[in-house]
Amino acid sequence: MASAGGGKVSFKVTLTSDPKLPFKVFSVPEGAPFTAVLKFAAEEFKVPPQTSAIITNDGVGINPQQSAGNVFLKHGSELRLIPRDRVGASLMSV
Amino acid sequence: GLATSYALKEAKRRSGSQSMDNENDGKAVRILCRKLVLINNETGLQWLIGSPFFPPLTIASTFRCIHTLPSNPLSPDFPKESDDLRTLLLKGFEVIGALIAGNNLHLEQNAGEAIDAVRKLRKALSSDTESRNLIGGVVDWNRTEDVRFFVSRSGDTSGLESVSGVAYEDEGEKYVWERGCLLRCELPIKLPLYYSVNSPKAEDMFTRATEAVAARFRDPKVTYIMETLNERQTEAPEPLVIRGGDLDFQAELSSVSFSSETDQVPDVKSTTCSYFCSTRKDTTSFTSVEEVTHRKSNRHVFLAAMEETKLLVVNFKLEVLCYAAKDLPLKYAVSKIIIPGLVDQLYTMKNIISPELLTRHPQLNQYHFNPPGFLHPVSVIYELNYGETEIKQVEVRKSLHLRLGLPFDRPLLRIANAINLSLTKSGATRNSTRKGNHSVSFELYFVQPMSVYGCLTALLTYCMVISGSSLLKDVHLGIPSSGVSGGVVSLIQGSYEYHHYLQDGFDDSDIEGNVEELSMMVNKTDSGWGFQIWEGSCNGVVALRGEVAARFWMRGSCSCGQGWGCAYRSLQTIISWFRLQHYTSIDVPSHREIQQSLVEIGDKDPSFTGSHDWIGAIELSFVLDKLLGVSCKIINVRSGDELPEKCRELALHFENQGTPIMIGGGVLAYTLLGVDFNESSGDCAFLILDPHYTGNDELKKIVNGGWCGWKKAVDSKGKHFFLHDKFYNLLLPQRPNMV
Repeated sequence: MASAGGGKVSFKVTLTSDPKLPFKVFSVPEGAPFTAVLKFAAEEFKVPPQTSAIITNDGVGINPQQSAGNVFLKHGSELRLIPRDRVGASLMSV
Repeated sequence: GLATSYALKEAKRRSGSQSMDNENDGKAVRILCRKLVLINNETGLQWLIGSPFFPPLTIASTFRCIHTLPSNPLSPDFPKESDDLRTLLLKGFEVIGALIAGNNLHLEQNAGEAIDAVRKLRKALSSDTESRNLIGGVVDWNRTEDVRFFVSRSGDTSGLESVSGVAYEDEGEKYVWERGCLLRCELPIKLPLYYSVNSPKAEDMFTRATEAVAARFRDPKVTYIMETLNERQTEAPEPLVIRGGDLDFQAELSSVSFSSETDQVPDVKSTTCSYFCSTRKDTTSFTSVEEVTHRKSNRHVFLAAMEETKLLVVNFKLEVLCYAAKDLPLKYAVSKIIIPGLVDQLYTMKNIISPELLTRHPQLNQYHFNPPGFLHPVSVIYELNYGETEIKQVEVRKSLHLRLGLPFDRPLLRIANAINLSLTKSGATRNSTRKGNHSVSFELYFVQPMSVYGCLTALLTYCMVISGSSLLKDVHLGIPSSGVSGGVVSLIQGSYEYHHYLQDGFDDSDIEGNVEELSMMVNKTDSGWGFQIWEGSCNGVVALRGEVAARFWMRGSCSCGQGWGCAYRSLQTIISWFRLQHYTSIDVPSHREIQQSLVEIGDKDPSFTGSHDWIGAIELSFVLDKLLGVSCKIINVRSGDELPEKCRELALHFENQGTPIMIGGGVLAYTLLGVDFNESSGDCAFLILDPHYTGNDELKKIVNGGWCGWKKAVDSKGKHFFLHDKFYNLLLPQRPNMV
């Protein structure tokens, strides 16, 4: 699945919130911001990009504010798309 | 690969663990430390550390030999090793043996080589020339048996005797600290050097001047004053004075007669160290510390110079920490322990400074540490010209970690880890000026033309500082048990501060927003809000005085951290952990600073700052990465029901990383401090620290109210703690691999 030639990198992104674990493969230019990958993946899986995040298969968080080539070098190509939790309300009852 | 420590408990079982109390008849080796640190299958040499105050063949700790000849990992580089150990090892401890580990070793031959190495090292260290029983130990990885020890008896350099038994002391720390105490001497010296401009031989002058200082220590006219630093004793013993003339430099330590204490007025000549020691049985902390100050008489000496001369002043901050038996007479403590320690340190520092004598002097400071697994402190001299994170300093610490068998993924020998033995009480608690009802009185004076807005910001920061100083630590200690039977508990390692809503009733989650609201009201009226401002000017100073009811901030919607800040609080708790474990020295960020970080890395739009928007585990990972360089693992589960399945992974996290975990899901954020997990039954509980608490920082209230406590995944009534129809993200911060 991993390939990097002609200035492009590929990622295999799996949607973990779906028990069937569907995945898509994306190729982007090395220099493209990784946010693009996140956006494409979210759109393909029909989930909102702002409430999604990408992590590696080992669970390491990826800051999307870096180039796709950087992410590929640091983390490889096997990634997961997860929903972001947003927490704040005080519903705790003792 | 990971280094694993080789625990030698097998020998204890086999030799039938004799606990020989007092005098060791020299037939068995006694080991006080919990393990001799070795690396499986590695070929190497360890120095065995003992003390002239312990019975022969008593091993208190081991240091790995790290400087070896390139050709042979078993051949020490004696000059380098002795330089390191001269500083590292406290006077009062000494190298008494060596242990060689390897594969397919000839036992006696290697034991002989080990003993030979010890002799050479002792000579290089210029230890007492007293001969001792020296130990040679051998570990052959290919054999199943443990360490084999051999002894070379003092005075007999040829023969090697095999040692029959090895005894392990159960309470090594007690053994060391019941027998002896710590002595400390602090001596700052300003050494003036005069050297001729025309033929500068500054280094020669330096050497001679240093030698002159060293000689002064033995001057009969010098006076030593000894006192105790034990603050807890209600009747501290009177300080004692010893004159240089009373000291005895000739006697050998082993032949010093250890007199017993009498009740009469102490005769200085025979008083022992125990005079200063605490009579309490509490041996856990360094309560018995003496200080010796060296007073020189003030004499002015005028020297004639033949030609143009330059003056250079070299600063020495000498500080030695030594170990001495409690029944050692003080005159020997000074002459045989402290003075040699001062002289050694003087020369060590001189040798470091000498090459840079005419340029920038290295800033040398002495620090002492209690590394985990050691029964005694060690000393290190750090060069601080470029700070602690400078590459050379990192390498120095790494090699110390290697020598002491310490893990490489946590700071243990940084300045923040050092023992604080200074006279002044450190860490005095700030006096909060709080009254009841969370109100604060203040008087602040500012020079005009600072605006009211500016004054208020300063005021609120001041209030935050006051309330922040009473943060509780480690609130989970001593709480009731989890209710899981037969489970294994895995907990956070180290300390953290409990950050929660409305810390002390003071809402610090949105200071700037509150200041704006407040200043608008102030401009309208100066009364009727429980807030009075008195303004007067006197010589250009504007004075503000009034009472602020902290609960004022709760008026108006969303003007309190309640309801939106819980993930931020969990992050603050996590960052406090990294601060307390010395991975970072940044302040725990405010809500606004957290938001600002997310804007700066591009994850949020600028409008996010100052908002009350919620964040979650992913945002926390970005902030930890940006502000601390810490990376995180994220566990995502589709349903709260899946969380118990993750218990094994969570237990492993607490065991290996030991950092606090943030759990985000449903609409709530929690901090997870541990799990209790029974693998066979699957029963489990989670130690939860809840950031939603809004009360004041009273431990009892927090624990009794369940704000920190064990929550079972399913309680006795069948109620689930985690929601089955919500997904959860868990944030697992990773220890940065740094020393």
